[in-house]
Amino acid sequence: MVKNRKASTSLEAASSPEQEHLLGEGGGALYVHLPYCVKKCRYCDFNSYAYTDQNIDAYLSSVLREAELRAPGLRPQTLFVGGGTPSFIDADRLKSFFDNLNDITGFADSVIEATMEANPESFDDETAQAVFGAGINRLSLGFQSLRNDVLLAYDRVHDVDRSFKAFESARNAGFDNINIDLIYSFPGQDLNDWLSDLESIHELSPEHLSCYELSYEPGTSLTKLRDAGRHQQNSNDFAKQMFDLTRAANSSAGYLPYEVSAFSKQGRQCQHNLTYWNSLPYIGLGAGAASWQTPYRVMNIASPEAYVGALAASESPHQEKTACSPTTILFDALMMGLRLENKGVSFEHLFNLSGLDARQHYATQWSKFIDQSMVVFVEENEGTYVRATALGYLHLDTILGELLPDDVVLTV
Amino acid sequence: MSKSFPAERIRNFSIIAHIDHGKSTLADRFLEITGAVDTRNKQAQQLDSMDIERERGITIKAAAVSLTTHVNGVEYLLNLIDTPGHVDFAYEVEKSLQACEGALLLIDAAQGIQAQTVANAMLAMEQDMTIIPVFNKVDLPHARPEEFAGELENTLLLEPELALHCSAKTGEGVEAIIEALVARVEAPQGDPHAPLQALIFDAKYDEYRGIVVCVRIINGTLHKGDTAHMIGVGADYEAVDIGKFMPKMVTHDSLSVGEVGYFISNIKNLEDVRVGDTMTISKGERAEALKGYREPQPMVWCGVFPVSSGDFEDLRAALKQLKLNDSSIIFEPESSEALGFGFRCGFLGLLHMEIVQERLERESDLSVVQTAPSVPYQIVLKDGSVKDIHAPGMLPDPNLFEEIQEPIVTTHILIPVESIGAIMSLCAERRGTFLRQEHLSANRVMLTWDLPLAEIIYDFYDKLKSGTKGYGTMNLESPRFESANLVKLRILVAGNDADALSTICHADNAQRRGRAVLKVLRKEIPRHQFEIALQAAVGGKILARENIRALSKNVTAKCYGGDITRKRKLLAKQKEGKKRMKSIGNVEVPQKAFLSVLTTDE
Ligand SMILES: Nc1nc2c(ncn2[C@@H]2O[C@H](COP(=O)(O)OP(=O)(O)O)[C@@H](O)[C@H]2O)c(=O)[nH]1
Ligand code: SF4
Ligand SMILES: [Mg+2]
Repeated sequence: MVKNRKASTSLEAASSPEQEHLLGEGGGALYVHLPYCVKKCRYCDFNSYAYTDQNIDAYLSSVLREAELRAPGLRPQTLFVGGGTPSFIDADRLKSFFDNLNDITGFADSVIEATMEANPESFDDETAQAVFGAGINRLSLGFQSLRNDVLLAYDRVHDVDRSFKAFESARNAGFDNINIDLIYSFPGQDLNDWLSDLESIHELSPEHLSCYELSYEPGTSLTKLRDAGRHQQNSNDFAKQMFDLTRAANSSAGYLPYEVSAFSKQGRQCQHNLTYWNSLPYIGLGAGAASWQTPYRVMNIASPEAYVGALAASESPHQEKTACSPTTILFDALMMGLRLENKGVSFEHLFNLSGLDARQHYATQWSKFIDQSMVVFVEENEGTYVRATALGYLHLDTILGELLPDDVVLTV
Repeated sequence: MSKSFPAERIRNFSIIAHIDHGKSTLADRFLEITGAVDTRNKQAQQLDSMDIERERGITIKAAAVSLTTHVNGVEYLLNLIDTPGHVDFAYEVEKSLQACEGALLLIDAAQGIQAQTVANAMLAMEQDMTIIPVFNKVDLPHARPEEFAGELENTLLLEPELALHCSAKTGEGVEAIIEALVARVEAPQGDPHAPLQALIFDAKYDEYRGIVVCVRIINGTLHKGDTAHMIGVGADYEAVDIGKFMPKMVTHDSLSVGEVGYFISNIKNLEDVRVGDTMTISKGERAEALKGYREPQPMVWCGVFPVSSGDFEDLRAALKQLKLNDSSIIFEPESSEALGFGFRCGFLGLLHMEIVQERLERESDLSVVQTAPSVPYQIVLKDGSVKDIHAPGMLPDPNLFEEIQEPIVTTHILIPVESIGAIMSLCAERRGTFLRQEHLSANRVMLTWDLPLAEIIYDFYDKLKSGTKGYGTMNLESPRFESANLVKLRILVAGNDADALSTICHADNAQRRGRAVLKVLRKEIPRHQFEIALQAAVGGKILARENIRALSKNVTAKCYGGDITRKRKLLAKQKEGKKRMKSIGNVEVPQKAFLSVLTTDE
């Protein structure tokens, strides 16, 4: 334990995400979902709800109840509190929630990284100090855009000034590990607009950047607008130019890409998200939260009301528990691992996870992809990695489509 | 009703007309007037027995009906032979006409002579039949029978004063038609004591009675229980049941000279009966064969594939069932890279093809995919022998044959004078050869062109209709084969031959056709992570090319712990869609792309 904790302090020296990621005894990763927002953003397909008069106290105590059942004394290595908009909940409630969560799981003492998501409209000095004091040491701020017209058009409820103020509050409260979320490829936005926005962000100097291409998820109001012909999605070619520009600009400013949409300063990769991309176990608490406890994928009831109801009735908050077959485990591990830039995933790791020899299992696909310059095999100290090439990285979904097993899931 | 009728009081006739000029309606009136059907429970258009015919208002199968009537106190037997009103080629009508001595040439008094009026009248004249022109629909306010009587004389050299007027709808003038039939049409000539000589003019499959053969007795007498001999087929069948269509089948003990009726035996296959064959008697003195019909040849071919591959055997069974009723359908198994296993089917023409497909779906409950129609070709091999080619895949390497021939049809097109320019250039564009132009009247002309059938089956009829504001009509004579500069158009996808997409076409059209195919493919093949070259070629010569640009990126922006299951399901759904893709080399081509190409009429 001690040894491991020590390793965590030498993150700066580590070069590969997997190496950087800490494999502790027990512990693992803990996710907590707080689903409320002021208003639903146009592109949002998260399990989030515009707050009206839901009983937040009942929700928070249900999450704590679930923590007691599923994570007592967990001492996680990473904590991630996402949403929704966790900062939507007032400072006092958040503080007491984290204190209680700490009583149950002991996270404040065990984590190397405890992130909370926040939106600018609801993140002020008071909230910043309250959560920092309660053991949260990393902040993920939803800027999304540096253009007020865009924020307005996509139903964001803050303006750009407010975003910068929130950042200042975070720094003032003591946060030295901050991520900023940005979205690009809004129709109408040109390469220069985006470049100058990125430069402003670089000046602000957060530790981490998540830059997502605007996506059209099934069922969002944005997708409906597009399908009704009232919104023109950018061309695939233009999206690719934006993607390239994002990586070039971030890299030259010292934000190195390590995943499709994630960039960080040296040593500031998000430890919690690396758990996902490395297919290591995690527990998710709250409405719609997912858990991965090999070989089970668990999905909680999505509706906050139903979730609260289930826990109140001492029923399982799980909506779905699925035992994954070895081929599915292998596939999932590739789906996540190939996202890691310049890294990929090692056959040894894949074998440990699934019990399958991925090299042999996918022999025909690999030889085709290698032929097409989509993937390469790379020998590194620890073993052989399968890694997407620059071309393959742009076409990961094409690759995955061909790797997908036929026996997708077994529901328990 | 069991004795045969004296020949001198029999009249055998057909009604011939352009589509919709009122043939079926007039037949109904005859049935009513002669008391063959009770007017209270009549169904409109009695002779069209199949649902589909009723819906489309056309007659698919020739049917016969025997009617008795009195004229001046004398009883006559009128045998009405119903000809198919909507035909692809004239020879389909010949079947029925050969069983008659007279024909009613029915003309819509509001529309005048149309292409099929001319075609049918000419066929009747070739057989030396008595023609009685009748202007129908005189009840219509815009009926102009007097004006069109002039056309009758100009086009068909028929004396206008002999024409009758009637309304099949109201019954006005129908009695007079019956009187004219009795007075003008010759009674059948023949010797009832001579050896049996009967013409088989139709055969159909009846669910309850099995195979029903329609016969017209030329000489001799057929008795129930006789063993009949089919001269052409060389088979013997016992007359288990014989009788007349009144219009329901009514048993008779014998059928004699001039009579028209049915013959039922234990015949298994419709193929065992050849329409046009002569029936005589097995024992004793046999008669000579009558001059038969031309065997109809399939002139339009297309692939018919089951939508789900598991339905292949059901499709075969359904086609066999249809063939029982319509022996002119031809089918053979075909396999296509794109569409799997199905059948290459031959039809008499486009209309025939349409009707068969409709019946197939209606009667069998199968959904089928049908490829674009093509015509049959013939190649003359080095040794002089001739081989039929009715699928592009059958075409051998050009240096293995001497020449290739395509079907050419002489086409009569009746149009208003003001459309001459438009239709002349349409025919010229379609590689036609102009034969002549005849004026029917001051404002209507008949153009006669030789046209390659391949050019007609692609939307020619639609173009004719639009070029004449709907007034143009056309009629095709029987096709003949002529040498032409035809090539096999290859389609290459990323350098690989896509056999399922190749077609035979005229060298002059290859580039246009090639471009059209590539345009469709460019639309239907999804972008890949690499650029895809599409080419159309004849031999090694590239005639057209298109590129499908590489897809720039295909990667999900966000994928965290909560997204895994959903993302996997999404990919699974996309993969499901890909199952309908076929690969040509490295390129995944959706089934829909093949289909769009195979069904494009361009
Ligand atoms: N007004 C009028 N309509 C008629 C007459 N005869 C037939 N029709 C109509 O013309 C159409 C075609 O008739 P049909 O008998 O099916 O023509 P077929 O295609 O020659 O058999 C139908 O709508 C009939 O009702 C007639 O004498 N007067
Ligand atoms: S703030 Fe985040 S979770 Fe809430 S609606 Fe907007 S995108 Fe969705
Ligand atoms: Mg009819």
